[in-house]
Amino acid sequence: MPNLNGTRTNKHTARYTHSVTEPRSPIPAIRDSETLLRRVPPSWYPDKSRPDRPSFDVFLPKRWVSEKERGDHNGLSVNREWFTTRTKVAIHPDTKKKQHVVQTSVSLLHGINLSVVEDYQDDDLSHALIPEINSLDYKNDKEKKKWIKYIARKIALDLCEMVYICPTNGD
Amino acid sequence: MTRLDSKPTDGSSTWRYRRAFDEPTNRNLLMIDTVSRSELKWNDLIKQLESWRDGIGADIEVDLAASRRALAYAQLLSSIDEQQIPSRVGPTINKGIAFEWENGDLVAHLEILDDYKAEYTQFDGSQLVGDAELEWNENEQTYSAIYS
Repeated sequence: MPNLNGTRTNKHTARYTHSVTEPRSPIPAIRDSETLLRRVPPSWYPDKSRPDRPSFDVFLPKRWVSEKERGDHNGLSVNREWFTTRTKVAIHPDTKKKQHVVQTSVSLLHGINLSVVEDYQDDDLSHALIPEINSLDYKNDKEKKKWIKYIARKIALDLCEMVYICPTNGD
Repeated sequence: MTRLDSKPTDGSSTWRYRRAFDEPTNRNLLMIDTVSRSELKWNDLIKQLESWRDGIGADIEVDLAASRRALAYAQLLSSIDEQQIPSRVGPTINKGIAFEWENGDLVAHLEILDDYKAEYTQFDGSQLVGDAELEWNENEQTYSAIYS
């Protein structure tokens, strides 16, 4: 196997050469045993009747507004714990404020026929997607939208747990 | 509370979303337990909505039109029946504001998206039992379903 030189033509296409300048490890494929993390805005936790659970909102895709604002059109974002930490995930990339973090697992999601695909970014190797939970289906297909809501509630109720609770002010 | 039952008001496909307490049979179904939720008062909630409208204190970005509508809606609900206080109100990832009422396994969720549009969801346990896109009807001061 030739070595990676670290120069990428795009996110998923690495250029292979024989002159090694900066070896870079490939991202391991997602395994069933992996834990996944997702940020939870403070107002979405706790679910009043289930103090260890977040609201189902946490697992809904951000909506499609327009071609410029496509929301979670590729799928719902999650982070692979292998490549990050709970406290790092807790920090919102834009506001830099801390939020709560919930965890689930690849095997649990596979158990309800969801898939998890890697979507690593240069600044975030942990980023992955749940493609079935996407804004396009939510917008265009009423039955899929209902299914997404059902799945979001199912994950929130049965398939996740809170693993990081941020301070009240989020700082 | 928002209309959380769903009977058509006429022969058309437009279903009105009235308040649950308008329907005696639903009174127990979705009444809020004010004892267990006494920590959340209308005054506090309205102050919170006012601060979000003014761009203060929201943990995620809130659309101004949605925050205004949410505030007006909360004021309307509180003036009709203060017992119908939501169990949770918060900004959503879509820059809207969600109201949520719970009673046992029943959860009613109204997400106000802007000045007119909203989305309604109701669960009984893990089962989705209500799903509708809503529009604000200024004349009737209530939401009507675009589809359900």
